[in-house]
Amino acid sequence: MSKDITEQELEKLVAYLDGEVSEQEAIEVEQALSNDESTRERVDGLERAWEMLDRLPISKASEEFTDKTLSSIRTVQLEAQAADDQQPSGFGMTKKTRAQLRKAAISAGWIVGLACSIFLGYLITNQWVPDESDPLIRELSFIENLDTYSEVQSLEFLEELTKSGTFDETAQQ
Amino acid sequence: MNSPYLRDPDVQLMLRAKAGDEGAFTDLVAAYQDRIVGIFCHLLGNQEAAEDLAQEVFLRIYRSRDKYEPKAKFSTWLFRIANNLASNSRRNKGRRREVALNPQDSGPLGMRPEEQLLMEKSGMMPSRQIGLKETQAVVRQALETLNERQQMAVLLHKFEGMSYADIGAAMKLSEAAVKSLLSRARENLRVQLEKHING
Repeated sequence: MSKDITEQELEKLVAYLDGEVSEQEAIEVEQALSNDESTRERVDGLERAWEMLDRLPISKASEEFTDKTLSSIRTVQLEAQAADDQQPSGFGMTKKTRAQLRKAAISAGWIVGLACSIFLGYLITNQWVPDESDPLIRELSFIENLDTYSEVQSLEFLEELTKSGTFDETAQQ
Repeated sequence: MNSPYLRDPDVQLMLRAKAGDEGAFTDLVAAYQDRIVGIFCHLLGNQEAAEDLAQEVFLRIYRSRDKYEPKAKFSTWLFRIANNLASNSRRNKGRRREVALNPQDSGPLGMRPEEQLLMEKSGMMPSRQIGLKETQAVVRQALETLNERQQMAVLLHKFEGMSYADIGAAMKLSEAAVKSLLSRARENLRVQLEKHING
C-alpha cells in the first residue's frame, strides 16, 4: 500500500519518470526509490498506468482526408477571392469599380500631362524663335503713311515746319 | 529574419507555403494529419468529428499563412491551434449535450462499456477480442475522468512525446503548471487503473 505523499513529491516523481528533473532532483528521487518501498510502489503504479495508454487504438486520418482538406482550402480561397472582388470599399464602390476608376484616372493624367507639355512647348518655341511678321506689325503705322513720308524732302525741312507751328495749326483744324 | 526555429524543417515548409508554394502546404498536411486526427479521436471519441476538427486546424493555418512568423516550432504552433479548437468544440458540445447512442457510432476508441455488455450478452463478441476491447474501454474511461486540460497534456506528452516546455507553449501554460497538471493527471490515471494494473 502506497503512503500518502505531498503534491510536490508527486510532481517530482512524475517529472522524474518524464525525464524533466534536474540532476539533483534525480538523485533525490533515486535515493527515495532505493530506501522506500511505498515510493517504489507509487512509481511502479504511475508507470504501469501510463503504459496502459498504449492499449488505446491509434486512429489515422482516412484516405480521402488530404484531398478533402485541400479541396476545402481551395474553396475557401475562391470564396475569399470572390468576396474580395464584391466587397464594397470606400464610397460604396466595389474593388473592381475602384480599379477601373484608378485606370481611368491614370489615363486622364497622362492626357492632361501630354496637353500641358504641348502647350509649354508652344510657348517656349514662340518666345525663342522670332516671327517674321513681328517687325511688319510693329512698323504698321509707318508703312501706312509711307507715301506721305516719301514726299518729305529732308529732316531739316520737317524741323522748320515744326518750329513754324504748321503742325499745331493742322491739328487744331 | 533570424529565428532559432528556422532549422525546423516544418517551419521551412510553412515559410514556403507563405511564399505561395502550395506543394509545401500539402506536405505539411500529409505530415501532420494522422497525428492531429489521432489526438482528436482520443479527445472526442469520434473519427468523423476528429477529422472535421483536424480539417479546421489546417484551414486556420492556411488562412494565417500570410502573417506567419516562426516564433515557435511548427508543431507547437499547430498543437496550440488544435488545443484551442478542441476546447471550443467541447464547450459547444457540452452546451448541446449530444449523446450518440448508436453502437455503430462507438468511434475509433472501441466500444463503450454498456455497448460491450450488450454485445457480450448477445454472444456477438468473439472471446479472443474481449480482453483487448475491455482494456481499451477501461483505459478510455480512465482518460475521460481527466479534465480537458489534463487530457490534452497527457495526449501531447504520451503520443507526441512533447516536453513540458513545448506542452506549455502549446497550451499557454508555464512549465510549472504543466508539471502540476501532468502529475495530477498521472495520479488520477493510476487511481482509476489501479485494480486493472494489479489484476
